[in-house]
Amino acid sequence: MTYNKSKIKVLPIKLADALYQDLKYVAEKQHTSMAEIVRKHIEPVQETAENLRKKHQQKSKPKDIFEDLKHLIYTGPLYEADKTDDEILYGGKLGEY
Amino acid sequence: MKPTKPMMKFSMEENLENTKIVLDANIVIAYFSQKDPCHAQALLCSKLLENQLKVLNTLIVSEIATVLLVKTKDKYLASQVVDKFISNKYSKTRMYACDSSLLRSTSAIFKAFNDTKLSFQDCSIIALARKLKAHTIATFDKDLRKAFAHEFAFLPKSI
Repeated sequence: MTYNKSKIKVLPIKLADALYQDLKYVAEKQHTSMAEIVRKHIEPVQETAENLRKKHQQKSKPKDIFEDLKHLIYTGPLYEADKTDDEILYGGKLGEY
Repeated sequence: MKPTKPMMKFSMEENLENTKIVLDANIVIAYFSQKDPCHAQALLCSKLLENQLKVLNTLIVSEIATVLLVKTKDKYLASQVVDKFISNKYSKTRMYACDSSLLRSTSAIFKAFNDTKLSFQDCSIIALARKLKAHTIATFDKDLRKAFAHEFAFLPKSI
Protein backbone atom coordinates (compact mmCIF):
# COMPACT_ATOMS: atom_id res chain seq x y z
CA MET A 1 0.00 0.00 0.00
CA THR A 2 1.28 3.49 -0.80
CA TYR A 3 0.97 6.24 1.73
CA ASN A 4 0.20 9.41 -0.19
CA LYS A 5 0.82 12.33 2.16
CA SER A 6 -2.44 14.03 1.20
CA LYS A 7 -4.43 10.94 2.08
CA ILE A 8 -3.06 9.82 5.41
CA LYS A 9 -4.59 9.79 8.85
CA VAL A 10 -2.47 9.84 11.96
CA LEU A 11 -3.56 7.40 14.60
CA PRO A 12 -2.46 8.26 18.12
CA ILE A 13 -1.89 4.98 19.87
CA LYS A 14 -1.07 4.36 23.53
CA LEU A 15 1.47 1.63 24.16
CA ALA A 16 2.81 0.22 27.39
CA ASP A 17 6.32 1.48 28.01
CA ALA A 18 7.82 -2.01 27.66
CA LEU A 19 6.07 -2.61 24.37
CA TYR A 20 7.17 0.78 23.07
CA GLN A 21 10.77 0.00 24.01
CA ASP A 22 10.55 -3.40 22.30
CA LEU A 23 9.05 -1.84 19.17
CA LYS A 24 11.81 0.77 19.10
CA TYR A 25 14.47 -1.92 19.58
CA VAL A 26 13.10 -4.12 16.78
CA ALA A 27 12.79 -1.13 14.44
CA GLU A 28 16.39 -0.15 15.09
CA LYS A 29 17.69 -3.68 14.60
CA GLN A 30 15.69 -4.21 11.43
CA HIS A 31 16.52 -0.77 10.01
CA THR A 32 12.97 0.24 9.65
CA SER A 33 10.58 2.58 11.39
CA MET A 34 8.21 1.77 14.25
CA ALA A 35 5.33 3.04 12.09
CA GLU A 36 6.27 0.61 9.30
CA ILE A 37 6.15 -2.34 11.69
CA VAL A 38 2.75 -1.30 13.02
CA ARG A 39 1.42 -0.73 9.49
CA LYS A 40 2.56 -4.18 8.36
CA HIS A 41 0.67 -5.72 11.23
CA ILE A 42 -2.60 -3.88 10.70
CA GLU A 43 -2.84 -3.93 6.90
CA PRO A 44 -4.62 -7.34 6.81
CA VAL A 45 -7.54 -5.57 8.50
CA GLN A 46 -8.47 -4.29 5.04
CA GLU A 47 -9.46 -7.77 3.95
CA THR A 48 -11.46 -8.30 7.12
CA ALA A 49 -13.21 -4.97 6.61
CA GLU A 50 -14.07 -5.88 3.02
CA ASN A 51 -15.55 -9.22 4.11
CA LEU A 52 -17.55 -7.54 6.87
CA ARG A 53 -18.88 -4.93 4.42
CA LYS A 54 -19.98 -7.67 2.01
CA LYS A 55 -21.70 -9.53 4.83
CA HIS A 56 -23.45 -6.39 5.99
CA GLN A 57 -24.63 -5.56 2.45
CA GLN A 58 -26.01 -9.06 2.07
CA LYS A 59 -27.78 -8.86 5.42
CA SER A 60 -29.29 -5.47 4.71
CA LYS A 61 -30.91 -6.73 1.50
CA PRO A 62 -34.55 -7.65 1.98
CA LYS A 63 -34.87 -11.40 1.63
CA ASP A 64 -38.22 -12.02 0.08
CA ILE A 65 -39.42 -10.16 -2.98
CA PHE A 66 -43.04 -11.27 -2.60
CA GLU A 67 -43.31 -10.08 0.98
CA ASP A 68 -41.61 -6.79 0.10
CA LEU A 69 -43.95 -6.11 -2.81
CA LYS A 70 -47.24 -7.30 -1.36
CA HIS A 71 -48.46 -3.69 -1.19
CA LEU A 72 -48.42 -3.71 -5.00
CA ILE A 73 -50.99 -6.51 -5.33
CA TYR A 74 -53.60 -5.30 -7.80
CA THR A 75 -57.12 -5.52 -6.42
CA GLY A 76 -59.09 -4.04 -9.31
CA PRO A 77 -60.92 -5.87 -12.08
CA LEU A 78 -58.85 -8.03 -14.39
CA TYR A 79 -58.97 -7.34 -18.10
CA GLU A 80 -58.92 -10.27 -20.51
CA ALA A 81 -59.75 -12.38 -17.46
CA ASP A 82 -61.17 -15.16 -19.62
CA LYS A 83 -57.89 -15.57 -21.45
CA THR A 84 -54.87 -17.58 -20.37
CA ASP A 85 -51.45 -15.97 -20.28
CA ASP A 86 -50.58 -17.81 -23.50
CA GLU A 87 -53.66 -16.42 -25.21
CA ILE A 88 -52.71 -12.93 -24.11
CA LEU A 89 -49.15 -13.36 -25.33
CA TYR A 90 -49.64 -15.36 -28.47
CA GLY A 91 -53.31 -14.97 -29.27
CA GLY A 92 -53.77 -18.74 -29.06
CA LYS A 93 -53.89 -21.34 -26.36
CA LEU A 94 -50.82 -23.50 -26.13
CA GLY A 95 -51.62 -25.34 -22.93
CA GLU A 96 -53.79 -24.93 -19.90
CA TYR A 97 -53.61 -24.22 -16.22
CA MET B 1 -37.63 -36.64 -24.37
CA LYS B 2 -35.20 -38.57 -22.23
CA PRO B 3 -34.79 -37.39 -18.66
CA THR B 4 -31.38 -35.91 -18.02
CA LYS B 5 -31.60 -36.15 -14.25
CA PRO B 6 -32.75 -38.81 -11.84
CA MET B 7 -36.24 -38.51 -10.50
CA MET B 8 -36.23 -35.98 -7.68
CA LYS B 9 -39.53 -35.82 -5.89
CA PHE B 10 -39.97 -34.92 -2.31
CA SER B 11 -42.33 -33.39 0.15
CA MET B 12 -42.05 -29.67 -0.47
CA GLU B 13 -42.79 -28.55 3.04
CA GLU B 14 -40.11 -30.75 4.54
CA ASN B 15 -37.22 -30.40 2.15
CA LEU B 16 -37.19 -26.89 0.80
CA GLU B 17 -34.29 -25.71 2.93
CA ASN B 18 -31.66 -23.98 0.78
CA THR B 19 -33.34 -25.10 -2.43
CA LYS B 20 -33.24 -23.21 -5.70
CA ILE B 21 -36.72 -22.77 -7.10
CA VAL B 22 -37.23 -21.71 -10.70
CA LEU B 23 -40.23 -19.42 -11.05
CA ASP B 24 -42.67 -19.43 -13.92
CA ALA B 25 -44.39 -16.18 -14.87
CA ASN B 26 -47.87 -17.43 -13.95
CA ILE B 27 -46.95 -17.67 -10.26
CA VAL B 28 -45.84 -14.04 -10.19
CA ILE B 29 -48.78 -12.85 -12.30
CA ALA B 30 -51.29 -14.66 -10.06
CA TYR B 31 -49.60 -13.30 -6.93
CA PHE B 32 -49.95 -9.69 -8.08
CA SER B 33 -53.53 -10.05 -9.34
CA GLN B 34 -55.93 -10.50 -6.45
CA LYS B 35 -58.78 -11.54 -8.74
CA ASP B 36 -56.75 -14.18 -10.54
CA PRO B 37 -58.28 -17.64 -9.90
CA CYS B 38 -54.83 -18.86 -8.79
CA HIS B 39 -54.13 -15.91 -6.48
CA ALA B 40 -54.72 -17.80 -3.21
CA GLN B 41 -52.43 -20.60 -4.36
CA ALA B 42 -49.82 -18.08 -5.45
CA LEU B 43 -49.92 -16.48 -1.99
CA LEU B 44 -49.47 -19.87 -0.38
CA CYS B 45 -46.65 -20.67 -2.76
CA SER B 46 -44.92 -17.37 -1.98
CA LYS B 47 -45.02 -18.26 1.71
CA LEU B 48 -43.49 -21.66 1.00
CA LEU B 49 -40.76 -19.99 -1.03
CA GLU B 50 -40.05 -17.25 1.48
CA ASN B 51 -36.65 -18.57 2.50
CA GLN B 52 -35.71 -20.26 -0.75
CA LEU B 53 -33.58 -18.88 -3.53
CA LYS B 54 -36.01 -17.93 -6.28
CA VAL B 55 -34.54 -17.83 -9.77
CA LEU B 56 -35.97 -16.72 -13.07
CA ASN B 57 -34.76 -15.70 -16.49
CA THR B 58 -35.24 -12.59 -18.56
CA LEU B 59 -37.73 -14.23 -20.94
CA ILE B 60 -39.99 -14.96 -17.99
CA VAL B 61 -39.69 -11.40 -16.73
CA SER B 62 -40.75 -10.05 -20.10
CA GLU B 63 -43.77 -12.38 -19.96
CA ILE B 64 -44.61 -11.10 -16.46
CA ALA B 65 -44.44 -7.48 -17.63
CA THR B 66 -46.62 -7.99 -20.69
CA VAL B 67 -49.31 -10.15 -19.10
CA LEU B 68 -49.53 -8.00 -15.95
CA LEU B 69 -49.93 -4.92 -18.12
CA VAL B 70 -52.65 -6.49 -20.28
CA LYS B 71 -54.54 -7.91 -17.29
CA THR B 72 -54.36 -4.88 -15.01
CA LYS B 73 -53.79 -1.99 -17.44
CA ASP B 74 -51.56 -0.73 -14.65
CA LYS B 75 -48.23 0.28 -16.13
CA TYR B 76 -46.89 1.35 -12.74
CA LEU B 77 -47.54 -2.08 -11.24
CA ALA B 78 -46.05 -3.95 -14.19
CA SER B 79 -42.93 -1.81 -14.29
CA GLN B 80 -42.46 -1.82 -10.53
CA VAL B 81 -42.66 -5.60 -10.37
CA VAL B 82 -40.21 -6.00 -13.24
CA ASP B 83 -37.84 -3.35 -11.87
CA LYS B 84 -37.73 -5.10 -8.51
CA PHE B 85 -37.09 -8.50 -10.07
CA ILE B 86 -34.18 -7.18 -12.09
CA SER B 87 -32.83 -4.96 -9.30
CA ASN B 88 -30.68 -7.59 -7.58
CA LYS B 89 -31.97 -6.01 -4.37
CA TYR B 90 -33.19 -9.24 -2.82
CA SER B 91 -30.88 -11.75 -1.26
CA LYS B 92 -33.24 -14.62 -2.13
CA THR B 93 -34.03 -13.72 -5.74
CA ARG B 94 -31.72 -14.14 -8.73
CA MET B 95 -32.27 -13.10 -12.29
CA TYR B 96 -30.47 -14.90 -15.11
CA ALA B 97 -29.97 -13.31 -18.49
CA CYS B 98 -31.09 -15.46 -21.36
CA ASP B 99 -27.65 -15.50 -22.94
CA SER B 100 -26.68 -17.46 -26.02
CA SER B 101 -25.87 -20.58 -24.00
CA LEU B 102 -29.24 -20.61 -22.26
CA LEU B 103 -31.00 -19.84 -25.54
CA ARG B 104 -29.24 -22.78 -27.20
CA SER B 105 -30.33 -25.13 -24.41
CA THR B 106 -33.84 -23.70 -24.58
CA SER B 107 -33.95 -24.18 -28.31
CA ALA B 108 -32.75 -27.78 -27.97
CA ILE B 109 -35.55 -28.55 -25.50
CA PHE B 110 -38.08 -26.73 -27.69
CA LYS B 111 -36.98 -28.78 -30.70
CA ALA B 112 -36.83 -32.12 -28.92
CA PHE B 113 -40.21 -31.93 -27.26
CA ASN B 114 -42.84 -33.52 -29.45
CA ASP B 115 -45.72 -31.46 -28.24
CA THR B 116 -47.01 -28.11 -29.38
CA LYS B 117 -48.27 -27.16 -25.94
CA LEU B 118 -44.99 -25.88 -24.59
CA SER B 119 -43.91 -22.36 -25.45
CA PHE B 120 -40.32 -21.27 -25.92
CA GLN B 121 -40.57 -19.51 -22.56
CA ASP B 122 -41.68 -22.76 -20.92
CA CYS B 123 -38.62 -24.46 -22.35
CA SER B 124 -36.40 -21.67 -21.03
CA ILE B 125 -37.60 -22.51 -17.52
CA ILE B 126 -36.49 -26.10 -17.98
CA ALA B 127 -33.18 -25.00 -19.49
CA LEU B 128 -32.51 -22.71 -16.52
CA ALA B 129 -33.48 -25.40 -14.01
CA ARG B 130 -31.08 -27.85 -15.67
CA LYS B 131 -28.31 -25.26 -15.85
CA LEU B 132 -28.60 -24.43 -12.15
CA LYS B 133 -29.24 -28.03 -11.14
CA ALA B 134 -32.47 -26.89 -9.54
CA HIS B 135 -34.91 -29.68 -8.82
CA THR B 136 -38.03 -27.64 -8.22
CA ILE B 137 -40.11 -25.42 -10.47
CA ALA B 138 -42.98 -23.23 -9.30
CA THR B 139 -45.67 -23.10 -11.98
CA PHE B 140 -49.39 -23.49 -12.55
CA ASP B 141 -48.81 -24.74 -16.08
CA LYS B 142 -50.31 -28.24 -16.20
CA ASP B 143 -48.62 -29.16 -19.46
CA LEU B 144 -45.20 -28.18 -18.18
CA ARG B 145 -45.76 -30.12 -14.97
CA LYS B 146 -46.96 -33.17 -16.86
CA ALA B 147 -44.18 -33.08 -19.43
CA PHE B 148 -41.39 -32.90 -16.87
CA ALA B 149 -42.91 -34.73 -13.93
CA HIS B 150 -40.21 -37.39 -14.28
CA GLU B 151 -37.45 -34.84 -13.85
CA PHE B 152 -38.61 -32.09 -11.51
CA ALA B 153 -40.71 -31.52 -8.44
CA PHE B 154 -43.34 -28.82 -8.85
CA LEU B 155 -44.91 -26.22 -6.64
CA PRO B 156 -47.67 -25.86 -5.61
CA LYS B 157 -47.88 -29.57 -4.96
CA SER B 158 -51.33 -29.84 -6.46
CA ILE B 159 -53.27 -27.45 -8.67
